Amino acid sequence: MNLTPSQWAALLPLLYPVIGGCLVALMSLDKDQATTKWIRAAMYGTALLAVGATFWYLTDLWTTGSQPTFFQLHMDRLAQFTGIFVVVAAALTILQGWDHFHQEGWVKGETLALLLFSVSGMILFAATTHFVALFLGLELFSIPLYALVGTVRARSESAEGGMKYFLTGAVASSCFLMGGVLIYGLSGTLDLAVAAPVLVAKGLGTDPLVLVGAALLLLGFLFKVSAVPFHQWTPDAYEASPHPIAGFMSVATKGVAFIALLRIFPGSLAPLGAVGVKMQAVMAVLAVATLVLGNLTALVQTNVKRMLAYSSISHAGYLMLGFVAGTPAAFNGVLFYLVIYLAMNMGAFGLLTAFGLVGEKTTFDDLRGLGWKRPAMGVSAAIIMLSLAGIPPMGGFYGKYMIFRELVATGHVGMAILGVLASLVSAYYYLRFLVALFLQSPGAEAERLASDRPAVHAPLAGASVLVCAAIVMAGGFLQAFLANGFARRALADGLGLLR
Amino acid sequence: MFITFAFVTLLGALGMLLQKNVIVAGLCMVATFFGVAGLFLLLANPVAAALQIIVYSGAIMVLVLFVIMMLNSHEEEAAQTARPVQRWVSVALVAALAFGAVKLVLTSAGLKALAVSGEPMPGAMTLQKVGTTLFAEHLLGFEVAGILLLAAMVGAVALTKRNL
Repeated sequence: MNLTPSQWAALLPLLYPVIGGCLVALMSLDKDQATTKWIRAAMYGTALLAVGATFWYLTDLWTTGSQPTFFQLHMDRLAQFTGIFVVVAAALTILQGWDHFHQEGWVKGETLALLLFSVSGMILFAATTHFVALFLGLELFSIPLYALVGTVRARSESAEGGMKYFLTGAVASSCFLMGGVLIYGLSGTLDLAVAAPVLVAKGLGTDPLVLVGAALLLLGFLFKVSAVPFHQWTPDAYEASPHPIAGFMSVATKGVAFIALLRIFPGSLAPLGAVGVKMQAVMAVLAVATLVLGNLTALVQTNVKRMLAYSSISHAGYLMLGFVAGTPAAFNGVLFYLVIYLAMNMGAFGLLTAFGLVGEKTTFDDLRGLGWKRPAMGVSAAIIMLSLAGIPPMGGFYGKYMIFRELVATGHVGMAILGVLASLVSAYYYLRFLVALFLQSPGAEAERLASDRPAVHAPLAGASVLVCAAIVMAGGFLQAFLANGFARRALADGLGLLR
Repeated sequence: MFITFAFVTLLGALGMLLQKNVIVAGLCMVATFFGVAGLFLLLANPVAAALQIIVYSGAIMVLVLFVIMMLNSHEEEAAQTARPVQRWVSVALVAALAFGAVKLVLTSAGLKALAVSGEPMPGAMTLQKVGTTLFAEHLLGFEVAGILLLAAMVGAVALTKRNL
């Protein structure tokens, strides 16, 4: 079978990471990878090269404006946007991973191979409306992540977190599958974009089975974005996983799930008007629950990683508010916020690596006084944390602003006020991070231990944090350019939501 | 016929859940698989039925029984603490779920329409048809499934190999 150039163009963004993953898996067969540095460097280099090739290819597609397809895979603007988003997150993860896994003493090529497979699955997940491809994409990015959470087997609790994530994730995936099957059973077509008009034509738009199917699909998405009540896995999984992987999960999984949700619910299933209305009602209730629970629980955490996990839950709440508003401008805000969120959260988890916090030592007490020792990291931490709290002129503020403005415009004033209150509350725990960094001096015991250990050397993680801080600042000052140039075009050309 | 196979499937599944002895539970699973294979036959899909018996009842069952034998723990371990509240809540939830599902199926207009008009019966699924749809219509899914299996294998090795 011969593929046309256009079909190759659609496939290549998925193929580059897969080929890279296979190569890295083969390289990690080498027994000397624990002792010989150049083999490790070659593995990380290959992974970066694969990710870089995908990035280069997708930006090329974006600038030429072509939107190739291969069977059910539609590499449209929205998919290209997602691809670039995921690939940047993966590149930052790989850079931070080099430092973090050396600190943990667990540098394995399999980790990289799994990460690359996951990247490929994520791009597929956001680039299709066909249920079979959608489900396979979901599994292709979830299964490597289950393994990645438990990857550092030297730590006993990593297996626990991985197992919890795996079991809950498997249940959520099977619910997602059941939802798709119900819609397929009644419509007779696997392509959700085709199924919606067929169902309307048959007069089954409000059939209870269709509603339940849509609800189960929604459950699958909400699990992946860790919205309340499907959030319980999040803190345990993040705490168990290596810092860069936790960052990748919080950013890429959430982003891809939101973009796929956008493609399926307001996009493909739009002809089923009743489903859209019900989806918005459910989203409104769950967004409130997510914001309240995520923020209040984050207040009482002593472990930075658990705090960041609850913070990522509350950020899912802000993004869900964009779906409650449901206007194209709100979706534009969601995409913009996702980009800023990528930089903020990859930066926040990168800081843990850059400060050399390993294993269990990730409490606020371990951060004391580190801001003065590493001024560049301290300033980056200040930028990232203030942006997470949504304080202008950082990028995080504008993302929230775009979403809240649309909420007010569509008459959800109460929810907008709740969102603002929630970000005020969140300022407390983000500032606590900065207080620990700058205003508290480390205990005598910690000082003594620190002087015994060699100085933390994490140049790549440090560089990635600086890049993240720069993106956050750029998001603040160039927000109109970013939102109109990228997010808006992704929505307009990809989904046809904006004209 | 449908009722028979459905009962075999359901009873097998129930037996698997309630059985304390792991090997008997495994054998109950075989009964479930056979019931599902029968349901596939009724849906004019002998290929799926044959695959179900070969792959599930044959290969996967043997694998499961081997694992049970290797682990050498035939009896379920007793729970460390009895949790009566959770037990009853879960029973109530399952009952509510079952009731909801039955009600849903009975009230669905779409299913009734299917029963009355009866969709035109497609011809029996043959191996040729499976092959052509797999490699023509679902080529992307087929390839991705291959990558998925590879990723799962790498993940399993990364998690379990002693001297990685």
